[in-house]
Amino acid sequence: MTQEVSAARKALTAAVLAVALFAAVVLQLTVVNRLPLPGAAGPDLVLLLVAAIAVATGPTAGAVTGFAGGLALDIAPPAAHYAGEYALVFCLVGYAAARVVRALWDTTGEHDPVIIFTVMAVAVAAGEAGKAALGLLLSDPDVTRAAASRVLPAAILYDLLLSPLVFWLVARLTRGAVGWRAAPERAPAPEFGFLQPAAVFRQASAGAAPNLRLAGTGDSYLSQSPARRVPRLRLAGTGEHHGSQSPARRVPRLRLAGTGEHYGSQSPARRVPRLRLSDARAGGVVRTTAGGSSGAPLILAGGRAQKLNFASSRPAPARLTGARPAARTPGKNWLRSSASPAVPAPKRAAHSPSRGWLKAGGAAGLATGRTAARPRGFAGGQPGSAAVGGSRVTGRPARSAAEALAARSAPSGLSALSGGGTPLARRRSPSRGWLRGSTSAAQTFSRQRRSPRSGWLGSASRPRGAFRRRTARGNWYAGPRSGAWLRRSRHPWRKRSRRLLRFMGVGR
Amino acid sequence: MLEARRTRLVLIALLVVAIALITIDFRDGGNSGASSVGGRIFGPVERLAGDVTGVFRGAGGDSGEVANLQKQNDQLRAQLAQAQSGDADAAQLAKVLHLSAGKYKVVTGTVIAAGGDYSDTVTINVGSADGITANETVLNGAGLVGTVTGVTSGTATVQLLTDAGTTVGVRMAGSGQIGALAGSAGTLSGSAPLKLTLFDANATLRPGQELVTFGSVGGRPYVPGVPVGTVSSVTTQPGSLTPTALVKPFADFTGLGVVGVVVSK
Repeated sequence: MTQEVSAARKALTAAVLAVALFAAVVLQLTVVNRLPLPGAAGPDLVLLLVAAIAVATGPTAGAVTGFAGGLALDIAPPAAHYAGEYALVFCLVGYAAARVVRALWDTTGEHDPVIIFTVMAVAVAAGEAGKAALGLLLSDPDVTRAAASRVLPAAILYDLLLSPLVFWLVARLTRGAVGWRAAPERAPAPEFGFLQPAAVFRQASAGAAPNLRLAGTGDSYLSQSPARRVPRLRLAGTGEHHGSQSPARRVPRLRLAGTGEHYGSQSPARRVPRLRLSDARAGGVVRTTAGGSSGAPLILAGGRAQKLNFASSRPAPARLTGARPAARTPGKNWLRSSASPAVPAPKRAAHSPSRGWLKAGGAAGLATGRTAARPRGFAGGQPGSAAVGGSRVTGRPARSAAEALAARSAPSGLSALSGGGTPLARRRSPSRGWLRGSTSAAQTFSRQRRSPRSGWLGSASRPRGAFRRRTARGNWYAGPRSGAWLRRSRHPWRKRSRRLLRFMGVGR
Repeated sequence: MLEARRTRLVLIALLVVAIALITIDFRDGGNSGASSVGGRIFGPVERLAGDVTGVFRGAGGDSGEVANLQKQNDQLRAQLAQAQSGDADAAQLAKVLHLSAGKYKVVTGTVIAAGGDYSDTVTINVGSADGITANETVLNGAGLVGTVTGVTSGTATVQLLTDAGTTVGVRMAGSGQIGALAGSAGTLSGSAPLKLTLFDANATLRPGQELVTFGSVGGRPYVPGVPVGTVSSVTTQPGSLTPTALVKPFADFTGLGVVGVVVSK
């Protein structure tokens, strides 16, 4: 149905329709109105033509046609009503009919002539009623309640009798001359169920808020996600839709956690630190077991990438991958920075990253109280990895664009993650949240599977709290939650409000 | 998205224009310049279309349009003569109203267009170029038709007797009782009766009585003495102050063809 229509063809059709409209006005006044028809009224050719043109073309053409036809009836000689009445009614009728047809086209993507004809018939009936209603409203002496009740049924009946003919004629005239734009990417056919309201709500709020995705999967719960207009937030460095059956999308993909790269493609040239969060779902490669050596294959990825391995309790990277990559990996100490890096972390700290990840999304704020003192090793300007491989990690890694984005719009899980790539002295370490899990990876995995909703809701409800830097109040329940996200963001008006807050002595 | 916004802008602009037109016309009582513009645009076209349809109408009848017109004209003159010469009432009336008999001049025209479902108005193919001005009496061979409400150079709009906005002062042909005759809407295609209300509470009404126009000052919008119709049924309710009746007009409004406009010189 999508096709390019030449301008000449369009102009010709428009001219033909204009002539037809003029002819309909003259025919209505000189012939139809004089026919001694049974009943108290006759058909309204102009209204029929306006409705037919509207459903055959579009809202703009419908509104303009309706206005022109109505105005012609208003000012052509035998008219007794006020000028502009029919113009108003027909304009609305044409616009509304075309909008309904366009909406049907947008949702179903097909043109059913029966449905379109039904729309036209309803529009014509509404137009007749609108004429009567406006006449009553203006207390036209001709249009009394009795007259309207006598005229309306007959008029609508005659209109409906004539409407198939007019519809067919206009369809013939406009065939091939109206280019329908391509149907937009549409939502799948609705499947009614008890989960439907959640999906509808998410779709309705899609323009206002970023989609909140489940931890680590980058996919939404229910995963019957329709066409999106908001950028997708890819969590946990995978950058990949879980299941990865995603077709070509038009929305930009946000790669978080500094990778900017599809997980799995191990391109070496990289200057941003990689956060390997060993997503439990995305691939088994990085899934770690208790006490296991996490992220070992990842270290192979590149010499220049600085990899932060969160889940390692032992200097596994060095052992597994040899000296060269391990020398540049801050590795496990990132997580255990409260004590000397050489001291082994508690056993429970070495559990599943996926579990920990979920925890970070859910409980990063809670963890802040206890982790306030955590990044001491980093704060001293001493990168944690120095103890492991003697490599130097710059105190302030490059702030990647993904991190900036995460700081602006991500839910709490993201902020905890991106905190890992930011100046560690200033950010609280998310390590606590990561490692709070005490169950095995398998348990965690199944739990995550079982109740993704809690994660979704959790991250939806606490971004502001999780963004807070200061942890003096202990947890995010207690702290003042207003304005934190404003202070974080870089949007101009947020900057402005931040300045205002600073001026008022509230913000920083 | 852009297209939708543009469409909305167009719609809003058109609606504002329409509402402004209604407001202006409402303020001017339906006599704003819009109708004259429309008459200038559509008048010639309607005349042309009326000529075309007139050929068909003439062909459909037994005799030609010219013969029909001549006959109508004769009847018209006869009616006028009767109305003017009349009885003592007419002379008395003419003196009262400062009318002088014999000054009437009739311009005949043909109906070329009709109004919509609600208004009983027609357009005739004579206009200000033929000496017609607003508020002049329109009649045909059978009786009163209506009055001129709008004039363009080539057309004139006639508000019929049956229009809901029409009220005509009438006089009972025999008793001389005066009253008002009002039209009811939507009667162009049917033959719905007119409503007569007499001013004298003691007047008697009976079916079959004939009505003529009472006449207006200066003959506008109605000249006196034109036959209007007959009382078809008396509808006076017991206890009501004024006698009322339904009146069947003489003129056949469903088949209006040639009409005459009384032009006062």
